[in-house]
Amino acid sequence: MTSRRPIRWGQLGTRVVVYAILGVAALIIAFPFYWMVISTIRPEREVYTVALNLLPSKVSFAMYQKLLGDPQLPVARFFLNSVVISIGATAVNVITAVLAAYALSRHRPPGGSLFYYLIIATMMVPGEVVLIGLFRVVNALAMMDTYQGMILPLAVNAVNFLLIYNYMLGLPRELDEAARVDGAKVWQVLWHITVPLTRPAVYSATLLAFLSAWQNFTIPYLLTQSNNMYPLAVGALFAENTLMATKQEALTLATILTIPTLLVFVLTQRFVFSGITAGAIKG
Amino acid sequence: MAESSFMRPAGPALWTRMFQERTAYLFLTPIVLLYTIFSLYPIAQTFELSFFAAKIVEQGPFVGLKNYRDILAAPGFHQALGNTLVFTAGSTVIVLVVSLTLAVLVNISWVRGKTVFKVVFFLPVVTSLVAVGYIWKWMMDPTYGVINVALSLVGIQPGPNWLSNPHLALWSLVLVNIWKWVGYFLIIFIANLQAIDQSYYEAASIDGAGAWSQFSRITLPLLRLAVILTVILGIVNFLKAFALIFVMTQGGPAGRTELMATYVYREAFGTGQLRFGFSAAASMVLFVMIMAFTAAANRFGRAGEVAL
Repeated sequence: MTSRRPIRWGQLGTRVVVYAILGVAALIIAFPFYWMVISTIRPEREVYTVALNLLPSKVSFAMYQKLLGDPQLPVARFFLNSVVISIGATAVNVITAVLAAYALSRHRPPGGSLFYYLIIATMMVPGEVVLIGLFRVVNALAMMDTYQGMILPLAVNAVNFLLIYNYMLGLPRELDEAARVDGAKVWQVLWHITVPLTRPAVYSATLLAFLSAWQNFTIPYLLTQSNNMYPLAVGALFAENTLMATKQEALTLATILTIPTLLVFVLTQRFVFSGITAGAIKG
Repeated sequence: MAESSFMRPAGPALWTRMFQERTAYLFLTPIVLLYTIFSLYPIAQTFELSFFAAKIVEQGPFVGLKNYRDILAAPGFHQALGNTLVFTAGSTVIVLVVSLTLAVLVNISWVRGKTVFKVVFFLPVVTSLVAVGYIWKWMMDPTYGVINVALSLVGIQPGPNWLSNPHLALWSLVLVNIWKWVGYFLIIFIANLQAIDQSYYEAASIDGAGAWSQFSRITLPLLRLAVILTVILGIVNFLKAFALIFVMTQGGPAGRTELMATYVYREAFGTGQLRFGFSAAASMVLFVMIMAFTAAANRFGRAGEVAL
């Protein structure tokens, strides 16, 4: 790979092939996004033509205006629901994870490993598998069709706990101990010393929690009944199945659903990648 | 504090230590309550219900193993199980080969724009499966879809019915699933590639080893654990596939794309019969499959990657 070869033409050939493969792969990944957006801003009749028009003949945002003004389809409300649900789930997930990670990494309460395994065990229970149990629990708690009924199940994500816990384990203890000797309360140590030092892991966990809560479809789909409570992902499916939305309307909703997570990810990719790869290096 | 008891195992009595650590218990309370109520209790409930003739909130009479006998006899269950295995195995193998290949290429020292490639390949990972489903359903439209329009330009006409041909539909979903997840595994592979000591490659190239033998003799053996972990993560992730199928095919045509997770949902909520007990039994089968693979993942290191 890094070897110096005397034949320059061969090396050039290798480079062309490598860039060609990467370029084609990147195009296959990126094209569907381009095609989605293009299909929402071209004139509707152009969407249904059997010709390959890579560029729209005319750019218009009429479909966005139409959808935002549609009384049957409260898109702005869906968007707001998505924001409330994903920020709520992120906050609950990260705060509970930080508290537990601090308690288990900085203190050794009797029975600590029991709590650790109880948290970790939830990784084996993805929401898709406990639909029936979850439905009955949320129903019994009278949380059907409420924000908290979606936020709390979505806040269960032990991966983020592990991310923060492992990071805290790697921090030196001297600062905590010094602060305790100086008479600081436990929560003061947590808030003023441990949390600032754990910032990179907390950022990563926050982003991963937000990205996955925003994307989740199954839990809100199961636990909502009225359109006013739908997040975007469920609202988009409702629009297609119940309101018989056109292709262009469905794609416009998909675009509105996609852009926030793409933006957040592109702006914060460093933390997202470090969160994904923490603990994933094996060798 | 806990440190002292750590250094002196024969420390104060248990109840004294528990009292000293009362703040730690307080900090553990929220997560324990949350995860018990919304994850552990629901699976326990699903397990319990699988022995009852339950309908939504009514528990119904105890029926022993009847639900399990019923799912074993149900053709729909066998079809969903078979489809799930094909979908999971196909997705895992192809995703692995594609993402490892791309990771090795992106990681070549002279390749420019590494971050751009990583970001682009990762875009589908952060895209909602509902949106992914819409985009691809539209691109795979037999008449107006851009794929068949492009195929017709090179003389393939009419193009395949990607999602309504019973032999093709499941593989079309595999294709979309691969598109969605390649970037995730690519990022894990790149991180592992970067952890390999470069001096191995330098020594090998001094000995005259070419690119391929460097890859097969150095890279692959050193990535062995990462590959195993990735296979398991892929399996666990793909076994529970739900939204993609729900949006793109609803399990059709003729149940050819029905997977375990969608089958469970449909039996409980979709058919109008609300057979919660039956569906709970099917859930338990899926749960045991996922649990087995997660346990395997934990054997190969921290399973902190079953994210998103």
